[in-house]
Order: sequence, then C-alpha cells, then structure tokens
Amino acid sequence: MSEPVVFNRRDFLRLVGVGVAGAAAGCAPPADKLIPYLVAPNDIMPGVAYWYASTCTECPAGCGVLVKAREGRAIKVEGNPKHPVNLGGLCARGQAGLQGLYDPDRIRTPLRKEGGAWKAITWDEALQLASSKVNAAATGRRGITLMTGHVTGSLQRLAREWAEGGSASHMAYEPFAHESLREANRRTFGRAEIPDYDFARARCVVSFGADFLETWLSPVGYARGFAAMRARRDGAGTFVAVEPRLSLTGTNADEWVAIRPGTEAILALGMAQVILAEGLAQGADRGALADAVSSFTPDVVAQQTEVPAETVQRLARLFASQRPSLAVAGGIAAQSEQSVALCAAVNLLNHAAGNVGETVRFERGVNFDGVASFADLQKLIADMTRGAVEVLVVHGANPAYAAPAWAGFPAAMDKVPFKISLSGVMDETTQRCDLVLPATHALETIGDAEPGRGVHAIQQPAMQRVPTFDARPAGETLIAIARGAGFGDRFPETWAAYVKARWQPMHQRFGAGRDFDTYWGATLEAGGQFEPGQAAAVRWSGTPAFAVPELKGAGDLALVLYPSTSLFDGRGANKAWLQELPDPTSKVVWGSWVEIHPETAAKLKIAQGDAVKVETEAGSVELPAYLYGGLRKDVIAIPLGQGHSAYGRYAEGRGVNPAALLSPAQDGASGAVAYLSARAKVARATQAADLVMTQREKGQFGREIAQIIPIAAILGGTANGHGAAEAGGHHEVPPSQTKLGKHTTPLEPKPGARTPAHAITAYEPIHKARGPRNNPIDKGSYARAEHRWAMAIDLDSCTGCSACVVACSAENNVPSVGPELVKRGREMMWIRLDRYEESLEPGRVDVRHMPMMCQHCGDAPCETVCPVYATYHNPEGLNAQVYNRCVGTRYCSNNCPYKVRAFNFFDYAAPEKATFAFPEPLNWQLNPDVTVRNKGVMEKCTMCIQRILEAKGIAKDEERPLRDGEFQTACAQSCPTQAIVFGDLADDQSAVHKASHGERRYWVFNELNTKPGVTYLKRVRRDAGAVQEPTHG
Amino acid sequence: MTRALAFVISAAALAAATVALTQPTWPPPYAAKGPQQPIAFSHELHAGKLGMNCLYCHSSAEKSPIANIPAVSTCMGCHKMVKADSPEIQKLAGYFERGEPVPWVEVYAMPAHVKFNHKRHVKAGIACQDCHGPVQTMPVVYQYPSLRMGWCVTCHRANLDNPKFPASMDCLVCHH
Amino acid sequence: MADITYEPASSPEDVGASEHVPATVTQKSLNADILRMLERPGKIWWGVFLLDLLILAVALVAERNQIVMGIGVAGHTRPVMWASYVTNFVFWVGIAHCGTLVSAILFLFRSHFRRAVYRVSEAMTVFGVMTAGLFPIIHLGRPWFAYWLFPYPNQRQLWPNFRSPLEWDVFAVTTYLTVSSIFFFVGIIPDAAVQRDFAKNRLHRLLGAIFSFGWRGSNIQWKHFYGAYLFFAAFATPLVLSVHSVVSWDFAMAQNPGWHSTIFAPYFVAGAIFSGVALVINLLIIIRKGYRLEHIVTLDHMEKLAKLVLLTSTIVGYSYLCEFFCAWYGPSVYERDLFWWRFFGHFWWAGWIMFTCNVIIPLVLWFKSVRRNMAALFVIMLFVNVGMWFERFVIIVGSLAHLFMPSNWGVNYKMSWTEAAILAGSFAWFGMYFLLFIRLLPAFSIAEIKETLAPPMRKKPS
Repeated sequence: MSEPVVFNRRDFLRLVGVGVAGAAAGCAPPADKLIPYLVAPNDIMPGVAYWYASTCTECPAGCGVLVKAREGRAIKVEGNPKHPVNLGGLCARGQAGLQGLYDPDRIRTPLRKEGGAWKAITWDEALQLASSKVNAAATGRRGITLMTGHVTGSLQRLAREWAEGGSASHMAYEPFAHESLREANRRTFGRAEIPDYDFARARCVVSFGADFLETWLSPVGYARGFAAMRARRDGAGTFVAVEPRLSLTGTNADEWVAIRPGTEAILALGMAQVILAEGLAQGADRGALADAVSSFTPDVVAQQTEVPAETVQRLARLFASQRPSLAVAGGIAAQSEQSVALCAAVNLLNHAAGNVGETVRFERGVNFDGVASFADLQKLIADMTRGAVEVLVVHGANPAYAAPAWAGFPAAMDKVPFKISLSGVMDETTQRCDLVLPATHALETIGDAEPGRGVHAIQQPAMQRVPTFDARPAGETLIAIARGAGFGDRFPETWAAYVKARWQPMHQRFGAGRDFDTYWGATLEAGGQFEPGQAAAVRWSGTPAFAVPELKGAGDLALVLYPSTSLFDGRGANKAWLQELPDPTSKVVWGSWVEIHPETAAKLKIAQGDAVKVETEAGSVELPAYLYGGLRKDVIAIPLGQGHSAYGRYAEGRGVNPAALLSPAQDGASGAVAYLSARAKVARATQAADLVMTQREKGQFGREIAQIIPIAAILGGTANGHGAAEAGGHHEVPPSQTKLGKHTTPLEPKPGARTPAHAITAYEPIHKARGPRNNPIDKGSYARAEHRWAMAIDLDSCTGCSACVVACSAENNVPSVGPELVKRGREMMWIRLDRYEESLEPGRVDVRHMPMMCQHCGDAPCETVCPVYATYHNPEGLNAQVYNRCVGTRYCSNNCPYKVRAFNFFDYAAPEKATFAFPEPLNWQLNPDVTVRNKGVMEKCTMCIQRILEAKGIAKDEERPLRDGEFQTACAQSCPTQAIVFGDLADDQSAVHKASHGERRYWVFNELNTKPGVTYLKRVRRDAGAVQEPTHG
Repeated sequence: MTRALAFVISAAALAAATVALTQPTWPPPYAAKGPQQPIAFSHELHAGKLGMNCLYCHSSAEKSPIANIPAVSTCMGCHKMVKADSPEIQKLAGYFERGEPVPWVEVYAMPAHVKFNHKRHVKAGIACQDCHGPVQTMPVVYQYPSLRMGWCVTCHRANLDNPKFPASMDCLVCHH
Repeated sequence: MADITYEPASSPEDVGASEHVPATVTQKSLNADILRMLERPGKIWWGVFLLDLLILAVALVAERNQIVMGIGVAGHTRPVMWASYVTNFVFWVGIAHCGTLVSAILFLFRSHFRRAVYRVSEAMTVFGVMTAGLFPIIHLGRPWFAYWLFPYPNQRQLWPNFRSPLEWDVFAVTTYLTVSSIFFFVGIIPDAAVQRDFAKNRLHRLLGAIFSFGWRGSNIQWKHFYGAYLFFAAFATPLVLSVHSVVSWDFAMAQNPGWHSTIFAPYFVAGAIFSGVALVINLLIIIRKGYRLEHIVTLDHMEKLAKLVLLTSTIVGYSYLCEFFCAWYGPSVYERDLFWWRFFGHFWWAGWIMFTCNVIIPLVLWFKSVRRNMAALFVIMLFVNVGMWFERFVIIVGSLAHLFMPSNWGVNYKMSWTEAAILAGSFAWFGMYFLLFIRLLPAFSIAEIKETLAPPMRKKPS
C-alpha cells in the first residue's frame, strides 16, 4: 500500500512548531490566542482535536458552526447546537466551506495587473499603491466606492466608517437581497426588514414559491422548525406548496398547487377573500381588508391562476382553521415584476388569518439591514459609466458574474480607472480589477457577525493562516489602506483590536462583573452572545395595489430561473464537493440542465439528455435537457450558479449561466431583478452536451424501498401498529427465511444465553433466529462487546437537502472524482440521496427522499463472499471494511443489494497521478483519523468508526459507560432536521432503540434477511384539506 | 547424486523461508544503529544516566493517540542554562533563535493505514520499553521491534481476555 | 532375419467399426504421418505464430497499463463490478472442460472414436486452464496481492475466507490444472517414445526422450501404463463435473436475481462441454486439413463430436427455458424484471446473440449432411463459441446492471480497449501454446490409433 497523502509532521511543524517556538522566541507575529471549545486554553497537542465556535459565511443566514481542528488545521465544520439560528444542523454549503479555505486556486500573493497580465508584488508595494490611489481619489473627492457582500457586525461597521473617512460610499451587494420582501413589509407593516418565520409553531404552512428548505433566507433553521411541525401528531402539520415548478421544498409538501407562474399573489388574495368572506378572519381591521380583496372571488382567482375554485376555498379554510398557520412568499415567485405585490398579498393573508405576531414575528429575522437593493447597484453602474467613480474596492461580492447581463456591470466596471479587489479567489469581478489584496478565508480570520437582531455571533479562526496563501483579513487591509491614505487614525492598529473594541459595549451589557478578557474568552467559547429576541408589535398599515406580471418574449414557455440548491447564487461553484453533490431534483452533477415537462419535450422531439437551445429575446444558451414531470407543461426551468468564466478549476467552463437569458425587467416598487420575466423558445441543438446523472431511474418499479404510511394509520393506531395495519399503511415484510418451515423457524434462546451484541437487530423474530451469528461466544472481543451500533432514518423528516452527503465526504476523506468518472458510475460518495417520484401530478405529490448508506447488515451478503476477510462483521455489529486487506475482487459490491459500496478505480490518493483528488492544499482538510484509500480497494460507510473509537476512549479515561448521544456520525450530526438517529441498539433506553421499535419502522429488502442495522421510518402521507382529528392522546 | 543434492538444498531453503517468514518478529531487530539525527541527542544520557521520565518530553504519549516530539522550547527549558556552550546545544539554540523546528528524522515509521493509539497503551500500563526497547541504553535511537502486524497481534492475542485491560482482535481498532 | 514386409488388412470392413482409420494406414505410414507434423514449419505456421505473438504483446502492454493506472481503465462501473474479465475466466474454464471429458469419460465408456481426437482436446484443456487461471488475477483491483487468497502460514496470522466461492475457485482451478496436466503427460508417454526413436531433428528427439520417461514398450510398462491411465481417467472424471460446478457457484452462491439459482451447476457443466467440444472441432478441422490427416481424423470422428455438440446444445437450451419459466412462475419481482430486461432491456442484443448462437443455430446439426460438411461445421462451431462467450456476458453484466435497487441500475458499462486487448490476448496466449504443441509433440495418439490397425501379417511365402 503506497503512502497516501496525509498531512505529515513537517506540515504540522510548519503550522504549530513554528507558532509555538516562534512565539516563545518573540519573532513572527504572535497569533491571537485561540480558545478551544470545551477545552481549557492549551498549546495544541498532536492527535487531539480542538473545536472552535465560529460563524458560517457561505450565505447570509449566518449559521453557528463548530470547527474541528487537528494538528493546527481545520478539518471539519459542524453546526453549533447552542446557536439560535441553526440549532446544530448545517447545510451542504456550510459543510463545504472548508474547500473554500483550502481551495488550490486561491490567490497566493498580492497581484497587480500590468499590461493585462497579473504580476505578484509584496504587501507593502500593494498597500502603498492602494492607499495612494485611494488618497488621491479621496482628497480630490473623485468618488470611491467600497462594495462588499452581505456583511454584518464589525466588518459592516468598519466598511461604513471607512466610507465616511474616505468620503466614499459603501454598498453591500447580495444577488438575492430580498428587496421585495423588505419593501412589502415596509408598506404593509411599516418595517423594512425580514421577520422571524416560526415554522415549528405553525399548524399549517402554505409556501408561495419560497424554497425555505433550500436557499431561502435561513434554510437550516427553517428546516428544523418544519420538521418539528411535521412531527406533530395532533392533526396539524400540513404543508402546501404553490409553485409552477416543483422544487425540492415542494417535494416535501402534501399538496402541490401548480399555479400559473406569476399569479401566486392572486391565489393568496383569493384565500384571504374566502377567509374574510366566511368570517374566519382575525383582527380588528377585517372590514377594510375584506373590501381590499373583495374582487378576488374564487372564480376570478381560478380563471387567472388556473387553480380550481374548490381548491382555493379548501386551502383558505384549511389555512384559517389550522391556526396559527403560516404563509411564506419567496423564491422565484418573489422575483417577478410584481414581487412586492406578492409579498404584500401574502402578508395580508397572514394578517387576515391572525398569524402576525404568532408565526410571523418581527423579532430577530435574518439580518439584511444595509444590504443594497438592485436599484442601488444600477445607480453605481450609472456612476461608473459616466466616470464618477475613481476607485472601486470590492470584497466578497461578485457582481460581474451574479448580476444579470443586461445590467452591464462588467462594461461599467471597466470604465473605473482603478479597481481593487480584496477577494481571496480569482472570480469574474476580481479578474477585472487592477490590484488584488487577497483576503483570508473566514475560517482563518477573527471577526464577528449579527445574522439576526440580538444574535451577536463570533467568527473565530480555527487555525493560523494557511501558509500557502499570503493573505490578510479584509478588515486589516481596509485599515491599512485607510492609514496609508491618511484617514485611518480613527482605527486601532489591527483588525483583531477593532473587533475587540466593538465588543467593549457588549462587555458593558453582558459582562456581569467579569473583566473583559474573561468575558471575551467565554464568548469565544460559546460562539457569541445571544440575546433573547423581543417581538416588535406591528400593525397593518395600508394595502398596496396588486397586479399580475406580464412575461416578455415570443416563446410559449415561461422561463423559471432558480438558485441551485448546492451552488446557491454561484458562490459554491468552486468547490468540488458541491459540484459533485447530485442535485436533489435531477441528480445531475458538474453542470447545467434545463428542465422540460415530458409532454412538452415529446412535442418538441426532445429526449432525456438531448442538447437543446433555449432562446429568449435577450439571448440563448445550449444545454442538455432533463425531462421532469414536476413542472407545468408551459414552463421550463434552469438552475443558476454554473457557467463561470473564472473562479477556479472546479467552476470554470461548467454549464451555462442562464442569467444571460434575461432582458431588462425588475420590480417597480423595490427594484429587485425579475428572474421570472421571460418567455423562451426551446429547440434541439446540434452540439451534444453531457447530462451526468448519478440516479437515472427515479421510480420504484413496485419495490417497496421508500415506504409511506397514511397519517390516519398512525393517529388511529396503537403502539403495536395494529391500527396502522387496519388502515392499510403498515405491514412488515418478514424475511423469507422465517417462513420456510421447521429448520428456519425462530428458536427460543437457551435459558441464560444472551444474544451477542453484534447479532442484535430491531426485528424481533430475527433477534431470536438461528444462525452462527447468534450463538453466544464466551471468549474474546465478541463475547465482551456491549454495543450494537445502528441507525434509524426518518423518511418523514428527511427533506432531501443532501447535507449529510457532504458531511460524510468531509469526515471520511471521500474523493471527488469529476464528471468523466461520475458519468461512468464511479462516484465515491458513501451516502447517497435516492429520490423516488411516485407521483408528480399537481395535487397530491408523492416524492420520497431516502438517504441510502451501508445498512451494516446483521447477516451481510458482502461478508461471506470476500475471499480475504477484508470485509467482516465486527463485535459491535458493524460491517467492517479493512482497506489494506482488500485485494479488489469487487464481489462484495456485486452481492450488496443496496449497492452502497464504492470502489477506488484509480489512484485518487497519489499526488503523482493525474487522478489525484486532493491537490495541495486540499489535502490539508483530510481527516488524519481516516485512512485515505488507495487504488484498487473497496470502501463504504463505517458509521464513522473513528468517532466511535474516540468516544469509547474518552469514556474509558473517565471510567464511565458511553452515554447515548454523546457522539454522532457525521451525517446524523449535520442533518438539519435530525432525520438520522445514530446510537446503540443494545441499549433499550437509547434514542435509536426507541426509534427502531416505533410503528413506522421497516427495513429495506427485509425479505432478503440481511437483518439491516439501519431502520427506516416510513414517510407519513397527510391529506391537505381534510383536517385530521386525533382519536386519542 | 547432484539431483538429490539440489533437491535437498531447495527443500531446506523452502522450509527455512516458511519458518522465517511466518515469524511475527522477523526481520529481527535492526542492528543497534539508528538514523543520523540533526542534533546528536542521546536518550542514553537523558533517559538512562539522568533517569528522566519519558513523559517529561513526550508528554502527549499518555494524553493523545500521538506521542509528540518535544517543541524546541521544551529542550531550551533546561538548556538555556545546562551545557549552554556545548556545540550541539549551540545548534539547538540556533534553531530556537531562528524559530525553526528541529528536522528530527523519523525512526518509528507507521504505514498510513495503521492507526496506533499511544494513549490507550500507556494507560493500559504498558511500559515504553515493552515496544521501544531499552531506550535508556541507546545513544542513538533505532527501531527496536519489527513493527509487523504479527508482532502487534501476538501481544493482543495474549491479552485477549486480560481481566483489567482486555486487548481487542477487531481489525477496525487499528485499520479504519 | 528374413525381411518381413507387412501388408495391410484387405479392407476396412473386415475390421469393422467406422471409427477405425482406413486400411491404407499402416503402422509405418501412421508414424510417418504424425511425425510429419513436426517437420520444419512452413510460412503459414510462422505467419500465424508471429501474428499471435504480436497480439500477445499488445495485451501485455494493456495489462501493464491497467496495473499502473488502476482497474478503472477497464469499463467496470457501479453496479457492474464484474464484466469481461470474469466472462473470459468462465469461458476458458468452460473450454478446458471438453478435454478431460473426451479423454477420461469417453475412455471409461470405451467409445473408441476418442482415440483420434483426445490428444488435441487434452492439450486444449491444459492450455485452456492456463489461460482461465490468469483472469481471476487480472480482474483484481490489486493483483499484486493475489497470493493472499492462498492459505499459507503468514506472520499476520490471517486465513483466507473459506466461505467465499472465490476461495473455492482457487482450489477448483489449481486442482484441475494439476490433474489434467498429469493426465496429459501420462497419455503422451508411448507416443513420445515414437518421437524419440523416429523424429528427424535432435530437438524433437530430445523432447521425445524427456516426455517418454524412458519408455521401452516392454510388456510390464504397457501393463502399468494402462493401469495408471485407467486410474487417472477415473480420478479425473468427477473433476469434469466438480470444477465447473464450483465456478458456477461464484454466481449461484450470491443472492442476485439471475445468479441465485440451483440449476447453475449442471447448466454450467453442460455449457462448458458444449463450448469445449465446439472448439475441439474447430481445431481439428484446421489441423486435419492443414496436415492432410483426413484419413486419420475421419469424418466419422468429426460427426460423433458434432453429435456431442448437438446434445449439449439442447441441454443448454433447456436450461435457458427453465430459468425463464422459474422467473415467470416464481414469486420474485426482481427476478421477473431481470429476465425480461435481459432480452428487451439495454443489453438485449447480447441476450439474443446468446440464444441464437447456442440454441437455434446448432439445430441444423440434426442433419447428417451438415455434420459431415467440414466448412459448415467450422462456421457453426465458431457461432457456438461466440454464443457461449455471450452467455457468460449476459449472466454477469446482464444481471449486475439490473439488480434490486432501481436507483442504482446502471447501463453505463462499455468494454474498454484494454479489455478488448486482453480478451484477444487470451486467445493469443492459448494459441501460442497450442501452436508450439503441434510442432513439438505428437498431436495424435499414435499408440491408441495403432490399436485400430489390422495386426501386421506375414506374407504367405509364394
């Protein structure tokens, strides 16, 4: 076995040895003392993991994270359970933040553009140049603009102060700035901000296009709340999705209302009308509201939205009766020319149903204060075009890619004489700059954030700056420029000092008598200072006018552009994990696709994977077709986020950027870009494109793999599930072996004989069944074993978000192999999200998402066939895979009914090979507790054996038994909805034991008698409309 | 005659090879010469004559899966005073001044697919010498055991049902 | 001693049975005919041999590339983790079957037509196993660790997994190679002696000397010879059935639809003999034509072999139908889907090639005229072997691509050039040995054919 790449001792010394010795010797800038989470301040000890609380910066939601550092380098990001925003979960993009930190294409030194080519220069030269330019512009008042991304906390403040000092202007650009939502709230509630949406409290949710489980505002937190709502057994928990394209969020709905694109507002008003007309409304100003919406009778609505009047009434009654309910507007629906109208309409609906102050609270919603609207960007573009901007400083924003082509940002930017970028990567905007002062990545930078009002979060570096990249914190650079330009005296020397200074007032308020350093330390440890939110009372202030947006263009297909679940607005595109993460809808990787309804496609003679040309009056793109039944027949959809012309090896030249299809269109009231504004034509194209899919068949072909159970069966059921059986939802398929006569009927265990831990399964008959596994052993590891590691996966909570997939890859050093190999079915992921589309018909939609990983079978088919015992059953019930024993017959994979084993077809671990998957410094992320597999060996889910061993070690040291839930597998930990429960099946009190014995449990392919260690809980089918009344409890 | 001889010889060779190759302790411990280290540090002096505790420098051996190589500052703790003028210590001081780590040469190289946990073994009361040999007598440290799998397994097998610290025979414990 | 001239028996009839060589063959002419094959090879032989080596070289390059790059250069994919290599393995093991059948079983059954053909088929057996044995190693992800499959004492204190069918293969194949080689070497002893005594050049005489183990043809030697031969025949017979049964369990022991079937052992054995005899016929047709030995390997011999092919073809066909019936009649939805898919899914063509070549085309062998028409026979037998290769392909790829998990059904297996080169190379490897064999050792059993000659009579003194 050749030596796989691991982070060797030299690198470690480079990071730590030097730090320690150097600090002692007094040379090299002493790093800020890092305060490990739950560990006393300490010099870093090799082999021991330290956790640092920080804040995720991959999207504006600002989830709290814990960063795991080993040997002085960050190797894993997990959600912070104590953080109010995400309560422990973390999405795929958050997990992938690490690959941003170690991105091999990060800029390594300050760069200056000379004659179109980049030239490396020193920091002193760079800062010198920058400050002189800024100084000149500032003194001459010739216009400086500081453009940042969505920034909060100290950086936002610094940006403001910097702008003031330099008589510059600051704008925070965010592609999805939710201007319309904020504007609508201003008009209807008098507060231009984003409220809290309390999904957990809602008894019923209606979403008007908001993909709140994917990218909308704060998806992780919302998903957690949504799961809580779904878990209720009191008849509540219905979710209706109103959208022309069935999004991932929509697949979790009980009913899909395939509405005419752009007319969502009308439906909302129609529902409000019914509620008011039928006197189901709450609140004083009912009369006024009733007048406002009186014209939107069900028939009018039906005629405009193509939603049957009956449905409108049913939804309205459901919405009003299941109080508090919750309606949200967002996503593509809230990005039309009438998006403010939609948001206002939904506000009205919530208001009428009395949800405001209940599930919609102006408390600590996602913080978008100070984020510029698209109109502001246009103003900047205008200024730049007419030469009113002398110096442009960009940090953390990429408008050259993200802003729609028609806005003409690149052209305008080129008119600016001097452009400085503080970006860490060479993205489209940075490419256009004249000077690059590379900024450090959030995971190696001190800072803070305020993702929600009263949520004062710390952004703590988990490691020293990655030596490969000579970068500096953006704040530090800004301060340096300011000082050089002569207006920096107001700022302290360093960025760290600036951040601390901002926390002085916090110390005043929350210090509780402790001195600042103690308080600061405690805050770093906790990840921030979290105030309880105070709900602000709001009153209905005026109903705006409502209208339906007109779609432009000659085509007969409405064009829907939506942010990609994994790449968001494109900022995830430079991360291999996210590129290779199968899209939850199409299961496509490494590229773009256009979704077309099968019938529409048939008309156009387009087959799955055909190259097609999508044309609008603004332009055209060529990309492969994906036939998707979850669309209206008059709609096509394309995800945003691909089609980068720069931004690193993983992003460049993959797919297309459909924003090019947009012609000028924006919301009149808020100025937001109208992504839903064009009609398109679709035709076959010549140039063949690859549609690289990890799952081709999305049907079950009558095999009960992902099962459902009607809610009635549960509510009417008793503990043993008989009621369920009567309700026709619940029946356990017994393994064939238990049906085959006397030799295979379950045997009673001998008196006194206990089933060895490794033979325990949740399936009782099997528990006692015969077979070598069940003969108790009196000596050795197998006799001693006390645990049977197992999982329970709740298909009702699983939203298909795929966070677990990336979490697993990060924890277990799973390589990304690239499109060519994925096309040949060689993806390496240990856990996959299977998607089964039982019914995509508008109305009751039935899509089942199913995480599928090694089932750790009690009688595993893979084990018996391995000729060298490379895979075997371990004393604690794990199906073990010993990489260095594997000779690569691949028989185990052939014999695995679940097909969860991945084979190393090439050498992904050898730096000298072309197939190397961890180009320096990506290999720094590798988990030192997990072997990096070589060419020719099989690998698969180990239930994070390294975590099991670590936890057992800690328990041994403390001379106590393992506690249930004291550690989790990577997938279970990251799951935003906690759909995956991991634990010890041998412990009757453990969560997994309870879950595995519930009435919804079943096993995939149980009839094969593999005795899986993974128990699935059936997805619950609810009936939207007909309200379930609990029959008991 | 010659045929018979050839047969006997080859048979004997085969037998010898079989016996040798199946010995977990084969190849035998290296001759007592380790690699040339950047600084002529003598375990014989420190651990032997001065009788320093191993854990004084390799402190993480009982706290962590990995036994640490002491930071230069640890050495300088004493050697700021002790024998500060000897040429070797000068070298050491040099590294310290420059803030460089000493590029010690690795003696116990473990393949990447083996995960050995020092802490567990130390806590089980296994003396350092049991595996590392009489370090206190080694002027230059050399690899004492064969470090082959059979060498580990033999000991684990012997302690399989050790009442106090039962060893595990589960492959996953070391290979994951 | 007065010179004795021998004259042949007047006509074949008075000796009788049709599997005898024509009366024109005398002891002397027979020696001459067989030894003539050893003479300085002509251009054709050299041409074929060099081409063969060339192909082999290409295959070696491909194999090296595969070892360096990884098994990924072959077309395997999840879920199709076995493909052409395992197909080749089963194919060649199958080829290797007919030899022992003809030489051992037919010997025990005293069916004398084997005399003219058994040496060729035995040689084919030995070389066939030597070829087959390479593929389990070639298809490994880490072939350099193949020796881990052997239960030898090692310092790791580890055993292989004796529950694994692949482990059984190790024993089955090695045993078969040993026994069939011994059988081959024993049978050749008296003929090697003839070569030793009558061959023209030294090399051939030397080889004769080596392989004849000091044979003098004394009575006692003949006695022991036949004793040993009988013993090995009896010893080898069960192997004919066991080896391919074990190979079939590589699949039958797995639980995959299309594999998990009790019929596999007999089904595979029949298929093996089917393909084996077919290849023997092909080889014999070439040799008897190339070396003008039609009078030694007569049409009757060929026809009898053809009948054997016809018989096994019907058995194989019956097995196919059986499988389909079970799939249709049985309870398993997986099995039903699979068998439908095999013939109407993505790999439908493979399924139909298999069925046509193995079941439909051999039907023409019911006609005597076809059985005795060498050209026709040659073509049919080629079809049979193509069909049998595809049978294994269908069983392996045609199952793996369509198992339990619809989400994982994969139709993206494509044979890569590496696989193609190694497949061609396997034929070259086999061919190399065979070409050398017919040049270096008597390819026909002189001793046994002589048994059918009329006893030499002294001329009546006139």
